[in-house]
Amino acid sequence: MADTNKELSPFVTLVSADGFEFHVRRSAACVSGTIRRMLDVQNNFSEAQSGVCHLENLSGIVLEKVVEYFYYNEKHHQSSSVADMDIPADLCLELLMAADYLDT
Amino acid sequence: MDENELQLPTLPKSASDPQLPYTPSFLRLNSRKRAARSYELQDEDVYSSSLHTSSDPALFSSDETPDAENYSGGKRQKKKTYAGTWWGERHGRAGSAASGSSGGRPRIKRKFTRNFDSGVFMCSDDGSTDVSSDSSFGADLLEEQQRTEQTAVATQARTPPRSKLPLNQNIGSPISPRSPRFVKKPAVIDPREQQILTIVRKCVEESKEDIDLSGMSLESLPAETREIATMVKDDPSNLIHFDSLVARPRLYLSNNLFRQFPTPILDLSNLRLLSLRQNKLTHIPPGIRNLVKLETLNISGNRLQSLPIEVLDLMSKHRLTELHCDPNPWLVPPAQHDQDSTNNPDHQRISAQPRYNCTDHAGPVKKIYTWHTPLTLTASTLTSAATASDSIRQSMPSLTELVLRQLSRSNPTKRDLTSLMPEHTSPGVLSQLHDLHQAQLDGGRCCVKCGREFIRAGTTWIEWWDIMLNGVISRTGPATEHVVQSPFPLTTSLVLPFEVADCGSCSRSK
Repeated sequence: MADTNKELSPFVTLVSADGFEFHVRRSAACVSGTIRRMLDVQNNFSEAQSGVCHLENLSGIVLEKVVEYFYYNEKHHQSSSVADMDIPADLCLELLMAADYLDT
Repeated sequence: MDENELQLPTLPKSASDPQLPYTPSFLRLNSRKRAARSYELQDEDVYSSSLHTSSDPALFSSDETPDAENYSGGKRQKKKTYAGTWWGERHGRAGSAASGSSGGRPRIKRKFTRNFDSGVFMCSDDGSTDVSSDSSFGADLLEEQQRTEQTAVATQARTPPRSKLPLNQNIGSPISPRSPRFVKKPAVIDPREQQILTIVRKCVEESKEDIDLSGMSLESLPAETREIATMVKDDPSNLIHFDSLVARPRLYLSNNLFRQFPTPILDLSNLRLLSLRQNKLTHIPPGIRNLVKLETLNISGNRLQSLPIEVLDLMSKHRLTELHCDPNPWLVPPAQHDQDSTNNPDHQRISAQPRYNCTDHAGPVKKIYTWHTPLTLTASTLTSAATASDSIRQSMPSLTELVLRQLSRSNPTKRDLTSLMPEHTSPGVLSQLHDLHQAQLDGGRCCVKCGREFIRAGTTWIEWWDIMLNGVISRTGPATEHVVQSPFPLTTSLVLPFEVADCGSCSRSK
């Protein structure tokens, strides 16, 4: 277990249903509870070994916005009175389902 | 001399003679046409002199009066002898020739028909066209369309269609008023709603500021009740004093069956009095903060456990001076020893940031101060309090919250979005959308700390406030209700529970 912890790369790969790959910093991706549990070494999922999460029910466009939110969250974590992230209106419902799935 | 002179061809007998033998054939054709025209013009003058249209004559020669009747008669025909198909003209000419150019024969008034087959329908955009002919026009068009479609099907095998545009077949159905897309369904109006609207509109028209809808066993109000906001004063003395002409209506909804707060009221910002006495309300929406002109609020005899903190704003910052609130099953503050136990972390946290630090308003109107340091409720008392400590850890709004905010901004019609979702949507999403819809109807909530609007509360807690209004507070039993009024400041105090919420994302930063 100790050597796997050392091997942990600071980046993980999120793959959308239509094959888009996003290389995201691990700390940012772990904003999502689902991804955090996927990547938890304790849970021994294959994602934790490979560092690649296949998100089969998210399209590339939605996942891009989700990743944007990950970094938005991480960047403004400490600061106060941050403006809300810009979300296009036509993505709202899909993002809502994605957020429900990803537990963010 | 006579013999030497050149023999000139014989002059025509008269230039005006229509039957001229010597003119070349093309000229002869032309002259015949001219002759026919002159004949028609003569006829025309007789005809048009007898025709009196009620509309004004056109000012300029280029002006065209748009009515269809002018299309067939009057001025237009002086310029244009014939408007129609060429075979029709020839036919008419032959007919008139056969009748022996008898001037006594009355001219047949040409009927105005449109050529539907052209495939191009030129809609007129002015409202002056005859509406009554529209339905028959649509029927005509439909018939025409069906006929052409049938004939088209029949003749398609033999002859290629003249135009292969799909326009020709499709144009009939969308624009005809009979097609279901354009048929406006008569709105089914509940007779009770109709009754309410009649009362409301009568009050609005007569500028009656007392709108009495009490005792009608209402459960909801139609959205058109918002028309109350359009009421203006009908008092000429106001013109002298340059007062506002906006009326300040009083709305009485007592003795009804409201279980939910009637949300159309939340838009009536000019309301002076709102009485919801003797209803079954369990909740006052936070959107009541819009009623900034409210002076009297009567919510006695309901099932309220708490009030939104916005009511306190109405009292402290706005004009609310008269509050009738008993009897209601108000939440009772926990016992004294509970609030002394300072080991409760939540208690410490909230009491460290008192919202109103014992405000003693300078004005003699009212005086409000905190009664106790605000307390957090146990989870059994208020359901939202259970979720409080869970989401407080996150300092940024969640993606769900962000999306919901965006949705509430981009959905100004307050439509319920749950119907848009596909099947097998997770129940969590559906409940979020339902909450969003309810929050929109309630007028949105604002964080008490950062003032931003939010959809899902981070923390919800109850504060008890001791209210001292010098105005009027009715603290009476359920049987009798009377208003205590005094010229002197009353020292009646009233302890009321207020529900407070923050957005959860600003709590850590402060």
